[in-house]
Amino acid sequence: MNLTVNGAAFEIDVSPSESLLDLLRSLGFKGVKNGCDNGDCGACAVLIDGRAITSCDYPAAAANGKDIITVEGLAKDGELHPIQAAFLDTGGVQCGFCTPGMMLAALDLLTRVPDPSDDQIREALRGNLCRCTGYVKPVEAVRTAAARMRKVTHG
Amino acid sequence: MITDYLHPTSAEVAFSTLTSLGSRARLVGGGTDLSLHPPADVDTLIDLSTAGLGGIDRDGGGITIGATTTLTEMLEYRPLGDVWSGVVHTMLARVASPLHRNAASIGGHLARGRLSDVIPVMLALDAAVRFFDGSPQQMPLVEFYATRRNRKPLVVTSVRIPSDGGRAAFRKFARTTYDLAILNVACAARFKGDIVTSARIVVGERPSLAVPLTHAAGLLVGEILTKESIAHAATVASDTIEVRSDPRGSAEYRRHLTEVLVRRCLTEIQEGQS
Repeated sequence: MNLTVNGAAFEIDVSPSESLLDLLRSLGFKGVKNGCDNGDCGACAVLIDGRAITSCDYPAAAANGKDIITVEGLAKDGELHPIQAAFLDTGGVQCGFCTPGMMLAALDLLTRVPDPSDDQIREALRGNLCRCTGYVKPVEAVRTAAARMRKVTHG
Repeated sequence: MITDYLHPTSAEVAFSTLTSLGSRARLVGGGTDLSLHPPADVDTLIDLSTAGLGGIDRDGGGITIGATTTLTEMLEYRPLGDVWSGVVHTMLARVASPLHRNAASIGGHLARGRLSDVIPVMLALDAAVRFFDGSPQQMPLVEFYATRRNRKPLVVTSVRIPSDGGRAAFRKFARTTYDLAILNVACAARFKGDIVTSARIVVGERPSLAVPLTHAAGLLVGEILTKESIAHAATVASDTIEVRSDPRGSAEYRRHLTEVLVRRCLTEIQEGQS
């Protein structure tokens, strides 16, 4: 099957029983984390055609022809994506395990809602469970990223 | 063990493949359920995402939602927020998380027929399901489940929600906002002036398939929604509902929840009507 990951085209054979999570990790995208392997924790979130999904309960074969973004695809030309920079600057990374999934859920939100309320941010991150149990800093990070991205867009 | 994953280009081809493989095959909507819990005897998944069953259309009489439409696409389709007091959007916002709603499909929900906040609302709104079982079919969703038609080989192609007025409400009780419901309730009513001309009370996650409580709802027809008429209907709903225990809640607790959630749904409809 064919798919694009972070802009790179792949033509590969996949097992019909393989999850997208396992496929992406086998291709070297280890930023896609295996947390619960049950669709519950969001650590494996990636973007498929611009929308964040849990890749552990998404059949790899269903991704045929899709455009996938993992956390490895956020930084460009050595520059962190504003969402990555904001997570670093605000302390939103914490232990880091849930962070890739949170960043991609945040990117899905900020692409559609440039100036989200805290409620909208919390709703967008609802499927991303933090093992450190700290959600205040990630919410602050998304709020900060939103402001920076609006500034870049509008000058 | 899944050994084959197919991408049919139409509902007809999907149905033909399904019937030729029998119990060895399952249809895939969003894939969120089947990929985690494939039945042991299934070796082929038939993915409907390429079968041309997406999209949402509105006409004068209702809104038709293609089977592979995701819950997020429904949530972002504004006209769905304009009918039945926006109950479809209210409900969808409480289903799991955006990560799941971005993948899960309405057709998958309806075909699975369990573990669903979607089905009680669709039943309460008198939705009709369209499917292909050798020829195109349409029937009320209530009949689809009551006759166990959903257990037969078929391909759900769309669901149609009538938009001819009325108010509706949804309540869900779960341990967390992210969890499956211990019980959920959807109510809907049409009015002439203040008089109820038709009513539906549907209780889901009993934990069996959602069921319309026709006797309790019938008590409201011809009445004005008042604190007393609502309390009476809620009590009858609680007295007549068939519930059982499972790890999420006891039968006794579910019966109690039925009274509370039906009363809250009907009260919301009353407050919106006045």
